Amino acid sequence: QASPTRSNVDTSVSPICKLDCSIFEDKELVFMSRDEIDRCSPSRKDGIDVLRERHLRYSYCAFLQNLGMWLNLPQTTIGTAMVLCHRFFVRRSHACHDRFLIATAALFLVGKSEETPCPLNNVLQASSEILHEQDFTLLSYLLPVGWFEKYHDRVLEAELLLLTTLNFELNVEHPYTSLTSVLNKLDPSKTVLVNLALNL
Amino acid sequence: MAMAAPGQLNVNESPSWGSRSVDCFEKLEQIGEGTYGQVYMAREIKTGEIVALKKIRMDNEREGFPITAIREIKILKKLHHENVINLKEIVTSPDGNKYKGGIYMVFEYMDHDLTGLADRPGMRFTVPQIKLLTGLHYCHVNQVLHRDIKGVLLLMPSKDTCSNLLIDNEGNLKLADFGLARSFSNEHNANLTNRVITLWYRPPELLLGTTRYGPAVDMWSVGCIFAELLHGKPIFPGKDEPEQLNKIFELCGAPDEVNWPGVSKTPWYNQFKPTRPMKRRLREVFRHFDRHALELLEKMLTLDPAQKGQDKLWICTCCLCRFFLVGNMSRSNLQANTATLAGICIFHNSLKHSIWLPSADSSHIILYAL
Repeated sequence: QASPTRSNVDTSVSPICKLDCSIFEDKELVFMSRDEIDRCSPSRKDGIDVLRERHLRYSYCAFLQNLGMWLNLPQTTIGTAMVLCHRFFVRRSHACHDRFLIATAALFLVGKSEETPCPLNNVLQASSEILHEQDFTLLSYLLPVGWFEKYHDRVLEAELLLLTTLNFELNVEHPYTSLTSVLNKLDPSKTVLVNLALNL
Repeated sequence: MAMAAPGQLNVNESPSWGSRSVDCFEKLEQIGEGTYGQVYMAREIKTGEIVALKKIRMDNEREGFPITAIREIKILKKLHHENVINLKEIVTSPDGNKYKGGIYMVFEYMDHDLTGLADRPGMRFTVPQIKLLTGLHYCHVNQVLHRDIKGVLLLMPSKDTCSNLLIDNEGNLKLADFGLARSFSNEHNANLTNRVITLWYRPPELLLGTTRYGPAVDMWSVGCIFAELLHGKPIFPGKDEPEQLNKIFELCGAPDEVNWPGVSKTPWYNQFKPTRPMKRRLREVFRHFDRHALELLEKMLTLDPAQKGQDKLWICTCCLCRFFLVGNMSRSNLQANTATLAGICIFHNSLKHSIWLPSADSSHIILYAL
């Protein structure tokens, strides 16, 4: 398991950079400016202001980073899940969709679409441990009978909601590969530069 | 207003974006079964357009939306080519429980598959261009392995195995059914399952248990179909895996370290290796084929997958060759009159700048380079 400090660093920086505002609608790219997202986000209608929503974004990204590292998933999978969550909440409000449920479903779904599948039970177990900050064995004593089955069904429901909301568009292009190839062409020895660029 | 409570989801909210409802279509009739679901012919109510609806089967609900469907959707969204079936959209049933109601992929409607056409005697083609290879080459360039190409002209073992090659009334051919397709990348040589491709069209490296493979697997299937079209019946109709390998060895010769370096290291080589020496009899068995067709077939049915890959000619072949089927494509005609059926491969640097036309007596194809 990776150290928690790195995950903290990552989450505080990366989400906002990765907040690429592209949404795919019927094979056509729809770009929204930062300002448009701030103004038109469906959460606005439910009285969640820009600052609050930004905080909510940070919180599910931090959660995803944590969950992904817990499950040993590669960074592209985690990053893709973050982008899918961003795309989801540009279309639906935070007020009526639990962001951690959506995030859990997103990571599970992206695991499959990025060919790094993780059994649903492992995802559920890890996410409930993180959310409740309790050991899994203890949780079954603390929570009502059948909670795990219910949670399982909720996450699958969220997966479908995510798929239909995003119109089954799961392709996300990340800058990582092109970035490293360019940097390698420049000077492969400059690892400092590579690390700096990756952490940007 | 307060935040969503833990576990809260509003699945009934119907937004103005996202996937449309299956109610936009009117089902006309069931037209077949794909690798994992029924296929219906349907009409879009608003436009009147005829489409094919393929229902996604939800078998393993424990693991949510099936990974095979995710792969197929992802791949089809990436591929846009005149010889690859076009995925128009995905629609869902409107009720809350989408698992019960179902999710459908909407495809352009194609009139025939290869099986249906070959079974219809007297069916007349007007210079149909079978462009399987251009479609397939396009997939490989985009790093997609199809892994389930099959023709099955005759002797269908069961009704639900049908061809994945669809043809419309204009004679356009499209590659369909990406239910087993996978993306591959050259650097990332991941282990893949070897239990893909309908047995008769499965290449020897998969039958010998290899889990690292590339575009060569699809080329083998194409070779089998090509030979099947010329021969009039499947060339390797094996009942099970040992028999399948045996049929391949009987025609293509037994593999050894000379013609296929590394074959003895494949997982199941010792189990399946031929007990007696076998010569390659391809040219002898198919001597009645067109000379060019035989040359192409020799390349596509090479035992060693690496030779298929490294051979530059092979790459030229797969992007530049097209088969033209001219005249009557009934069963007897296929076998008797191979002269009207010209299989051709020509090596040229750019397909885009060339025109292909049948010669006056339809016996061969002339390439006009521009």
